[in-house]
Amino acid sequence: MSEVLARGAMAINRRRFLGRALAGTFAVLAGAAAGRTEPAWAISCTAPNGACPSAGCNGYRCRDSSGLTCNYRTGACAENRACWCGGGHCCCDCRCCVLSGSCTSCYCHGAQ
Amino acid sequence: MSGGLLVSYIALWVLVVALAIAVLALYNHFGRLYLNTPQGRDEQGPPPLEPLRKRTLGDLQEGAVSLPIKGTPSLLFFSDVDCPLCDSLKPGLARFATERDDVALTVICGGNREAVARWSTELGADVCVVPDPGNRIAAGFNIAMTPFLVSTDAEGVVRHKGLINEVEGFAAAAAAAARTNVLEVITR
Repeated sequence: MSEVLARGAMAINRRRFLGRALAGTFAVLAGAAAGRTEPAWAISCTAPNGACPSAGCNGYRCRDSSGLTCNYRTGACAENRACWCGGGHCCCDCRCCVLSGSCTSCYCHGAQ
Repeated sequence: MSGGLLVSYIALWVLVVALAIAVLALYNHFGRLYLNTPQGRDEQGPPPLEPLRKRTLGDLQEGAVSLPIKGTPSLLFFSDVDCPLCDSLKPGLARFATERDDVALTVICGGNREAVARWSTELGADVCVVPDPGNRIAAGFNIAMTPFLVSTDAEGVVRHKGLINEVEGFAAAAAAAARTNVLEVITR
């Protein structure tokens, strides 16, 4: 099933104009159904707790800031790589911790 | 067909078409979600420890590049003109190509020929660059994200594959490609 999904996603992606039209159509329908809109590229990032706080990101890169320590979360996949790009945007898996010691897995995204 | 019936008939067909588009978009959406999960990322690329599928590609100089390259360890670096992370790896890639003439390096870069030519100017003549409009070549290798690296040994067998985030990844992949499986040598 997963292979079917993956191959289907890549096959549709080759037909660029159709892919963009479909994604745009779905985004509109999904946004209308959910009552909110979300940038289409945001769905290409994955992390259990969504996007990292903006202070923990420098574009798509994880960043330390005052009161927040954000490191690349490389243990998330077997190949041990935290960042990838697609469609002009990049995502990085991050692990951000506050001073109290509480940590969360999130992603940073951006074009730079 | 009366006017009301005709209107409802057309409206229903419009609804069917809209629903079909929505279903296809949903299929694409969940496919993309899966591709970006750790499992999806891990499963991308050609199957490891198997011969790379034979392909003949055209490089920027309009010469033919036959894959897999045999007789020497080789690296296939999948990039894109719109990949900022790939841009950050370019200087290291150019340095690696200059220092390691024992490894054949091929860059397959998403984008049209002109954009790829501009993107690859700083890589130098040691690097073979293949433009990949629409990322079709990458999709043929089961790769949907960049920067991605595949290494093959002297017999064209895939020894390493995966996303690459640091320059050190090129050396590690080259080492994997140069490593010979002793058991394979004995049983040949």
